[in-house]
Amino acid sequence: MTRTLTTVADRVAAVAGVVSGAAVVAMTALVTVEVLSRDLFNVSTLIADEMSGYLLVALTFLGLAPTLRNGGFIRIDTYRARLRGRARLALELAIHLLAVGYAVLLDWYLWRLALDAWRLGTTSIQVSRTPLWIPQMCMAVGGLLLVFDLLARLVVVLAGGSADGDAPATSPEL
Amino acid sequence: MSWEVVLLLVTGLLVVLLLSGLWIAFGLGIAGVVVLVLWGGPATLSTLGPIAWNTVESFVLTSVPLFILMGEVILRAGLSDGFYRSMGVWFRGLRGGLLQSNIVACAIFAAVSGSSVATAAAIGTVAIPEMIKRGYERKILFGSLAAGGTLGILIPPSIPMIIYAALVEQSVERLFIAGVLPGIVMSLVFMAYIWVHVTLRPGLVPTEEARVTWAERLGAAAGVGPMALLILLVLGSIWLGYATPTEAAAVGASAAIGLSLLARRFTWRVFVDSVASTVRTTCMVLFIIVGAQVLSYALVRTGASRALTAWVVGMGLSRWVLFAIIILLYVFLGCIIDGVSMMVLTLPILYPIVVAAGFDPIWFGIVLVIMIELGGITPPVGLNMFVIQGLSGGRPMSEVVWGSLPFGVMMLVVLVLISFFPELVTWLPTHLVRR
Repeated sequence: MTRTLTTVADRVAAVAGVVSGAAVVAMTALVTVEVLSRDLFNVSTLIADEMSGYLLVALTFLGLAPTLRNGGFIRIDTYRARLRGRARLALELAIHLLAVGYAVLLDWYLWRLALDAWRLGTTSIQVSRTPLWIPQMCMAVGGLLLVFDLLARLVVVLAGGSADGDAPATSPEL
Repeated sequence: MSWEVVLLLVTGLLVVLLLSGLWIAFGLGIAGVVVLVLWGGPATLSTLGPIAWNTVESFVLTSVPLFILMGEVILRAGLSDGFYRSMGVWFRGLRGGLLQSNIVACAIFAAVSGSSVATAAAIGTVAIPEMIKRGYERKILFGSLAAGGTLGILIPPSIPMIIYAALVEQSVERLFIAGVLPGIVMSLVFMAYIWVHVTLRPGLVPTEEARVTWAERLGAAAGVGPMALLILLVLGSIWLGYATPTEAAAVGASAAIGLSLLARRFTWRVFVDSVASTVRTTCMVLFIIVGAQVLSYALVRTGASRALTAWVVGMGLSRWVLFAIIILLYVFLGCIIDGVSMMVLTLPILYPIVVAAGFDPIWFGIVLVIMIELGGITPPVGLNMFVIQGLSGGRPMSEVVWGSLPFGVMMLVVLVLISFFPELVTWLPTHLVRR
């Protein structure tokens, strides 16, 4: 059962990761085109600054689940790594419960933000008049995927497995 | 709650949460949520949504993934390999041989990379196997790379500078340009240390480093091409005011991809790995910032931040005593926590105090970056040391730690230098920013 759950969580995170990666590519292309068209042809897209901000929002929040899954979030592992047996299990449970709590709370308010924007029809103050619920919904959905991923890890921990046997102690990237 | 209670609560919570091994981004946010609920009830939490939105929906922070992408592509497509060989040919004639080349190569790679870990990895990957084979003493070799790598965040572009600028609302351009002279000074101090150390103990370096002829030097110049082009493009366009840092980052990332394509090294694998790694690092950093902003909001809302500032200012400490205390705090924090977390965690409390004491915000930003560099090479949590140890082929961490220590002392020497001569930091931005 936990294996199926892990597979599902892996797939969900992989899909979110692809969308998040697409946002990176789109952002790079958009801002590059803006600079070239402005400096070479004196034409601005007018939306590059605004859209790249939205893309950053989508990239960040949709990337949360894959980042967690790949051990990308940094943590101080000096003490956790030393614990064994029941002490380790208790600590893992506490960590995951706290993380789930924070993620649920945050995501609850992200949904409220997005749904308020939907109901009130809030748009950006830029020329594009983008309805703000679109980028805000990306945040809310990304948060939901994070909650799902944390819950999947929690179940694995409860079943006596290791939630991140594969993940390195610290992120090698930054 | 009085402000003293708030601060004690936050400190206690953070110590327990972070040392437990909870992900730092979550720990910061949870501490903020607890304080908000205890202080103003659950209703205060309705600000969580707007805080997350306003923090991440930012054109300035958009440069973070773009600069990371540029560095990843350069690293994974191997655009920097030929460049390292050129540095080897040019600088191994100096006393210290390839150790000197390491510092110069790191300093130059730093001008296209905003991360100290990426810089250490880029140069270390090529340098370590080569130099162990040639018989360089390992401790100083590892130290030169771990410390040299930290130049990645002092010499622009710099991810910590972008985050600092976004959090305290200073100009990224000014911070970038302010980092140039301290970065050069830091490189020269590292090189001077290597020179003195190798003079005292010549056995550390193999003797057979042959004389380099000018024909060889010219022959090696081609390897510098792609890097030189990228540096000119990115820093040049920021410096001359053609592009904002975010735009320069996008152009740099596109150019890195273009150059890799030209060199026939931009494979699908390189593309996927670079983008995936960019997503991971960006999410990690931005979620830490979101957590820190929640905590920061709690500290401001409860008045704890302002009360502490008033209290510290009221003590009438001399500003340099205050500065020394802050530095000691950062040395300590740098040992147990990564640099970005350390910065976003302390800024809401320390920044008002530092400004009230009359320190220049740009100057303090550079000081903070140097403290993050030091944190990168101090155990037990020093990210650059992990990188170098990972590349060392199974050598013990202690070799990296002892090799890095003298370079850490050199960082403090640079800190003293920019304290006595703040113009090193402030002169360039006041004279050269065009906009």
